[in-house]
Amino acid sequence: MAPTDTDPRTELVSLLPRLRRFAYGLTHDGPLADDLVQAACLKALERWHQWQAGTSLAAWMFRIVQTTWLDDYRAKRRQRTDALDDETAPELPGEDGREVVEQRSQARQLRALIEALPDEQRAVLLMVTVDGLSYKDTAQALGVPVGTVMSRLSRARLRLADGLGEER
Amino acid sequence: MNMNDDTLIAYLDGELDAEGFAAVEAALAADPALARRLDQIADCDQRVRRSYQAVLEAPVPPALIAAVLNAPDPRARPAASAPQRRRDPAPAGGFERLMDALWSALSGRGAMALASVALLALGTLLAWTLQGPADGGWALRAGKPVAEPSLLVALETAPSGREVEAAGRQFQLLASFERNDGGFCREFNASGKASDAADHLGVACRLPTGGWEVAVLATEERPADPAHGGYRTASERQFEVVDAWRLAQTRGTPLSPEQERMLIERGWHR
Repeated sequence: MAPTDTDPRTELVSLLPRLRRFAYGLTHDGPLADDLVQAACLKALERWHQWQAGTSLAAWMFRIVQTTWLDDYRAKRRQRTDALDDETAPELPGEDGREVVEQRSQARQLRALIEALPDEQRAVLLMVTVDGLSYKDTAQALGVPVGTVMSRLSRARLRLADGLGEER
Repeated sequence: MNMNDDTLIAYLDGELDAEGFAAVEAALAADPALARRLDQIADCDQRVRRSYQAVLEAPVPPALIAAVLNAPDPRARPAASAPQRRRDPAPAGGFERLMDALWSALSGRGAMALASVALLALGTLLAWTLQGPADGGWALRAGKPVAEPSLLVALETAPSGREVEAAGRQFQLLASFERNDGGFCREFNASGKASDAADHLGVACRLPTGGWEVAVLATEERPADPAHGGYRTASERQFEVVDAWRLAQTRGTPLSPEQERMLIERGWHR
């Protein structure tokens, strides 16, 4: 665990790539994800005393990003038109044009499935499957039992696996 | 043990105990349908992770780093008394504030902070820094990526002409150039105090994937010069080596300060 004299701001800075990925998973909108991460970081610094040393800072931050998204940002996302989405999607690596197109279409399909998940399932999917947090850290941050994390996680993954399977 | 999807998922996540793990392994060996189901879920996990990989590897916007570093330090906040007014989270005057934030990080904080700032400013360099030598990566070699966080931050963000001190080292970016193939390179001078008698004059070029690679390097082992605050300046021989490379590989004239500033703000993209 980080020593107590570490500047909390630099600890957050070192988490930014993961926070941006998590926020992008919630918003699927690059600029909005960055706004969300910034707002969540400022919120976290204001209530830094609430973070319990010894617990996962990343998990605590994901929780703050998630609640900030639900409370303050989701409405903004809904106002945006879907036409903006493709412009803000990150470029995917590909060997040739055909592969890029194929990857784009698969990515779009996957994104639609992820967007269709209930909020709490999407959050655990992003925390565990994408970020690699343990069930325990995830449960602690969300304030739910480990069994709840497991059941949300399995429901989310089965929806995705079955959704992708149907399209083949 | 009931081999349902939940069990397979906990198996994939490494969350089963030894007994549960062995039971799943045995069931997978005996049941091809179960193994196919596992593959299907694992493949889906893989695709989900891959679809967010680009965001993880993308450079973090400097304005976001600056906004976090410029927020009030929660350790300085008096417990229950009048809370400080939060600063406007909008990164106004982004460039100057970023430079200030990076400079305070470069001059005042420890290696951890330097590493964090560098990693984030540079995004894709994570792997290199992790693989770099434990002493901070001052093993500069031509043809090798720059692994030293403070030098990376300077290459990425410092205007030419400004001297930077970090971790007992001093470095200065001398000029930026456009290479004949269109890439961008920066000439730098790095020297240490007593602990390391080497003075490096070199050119680092930005890689298309992000990060910087040493293109040419002229190193001299020389004692520190007390007349210049313990630091050294590069020798004629070092300048000859670097100038020869520059004449052969670049368009000769350095970029103007305006061009350089634009490139820094755009993360060295045109």
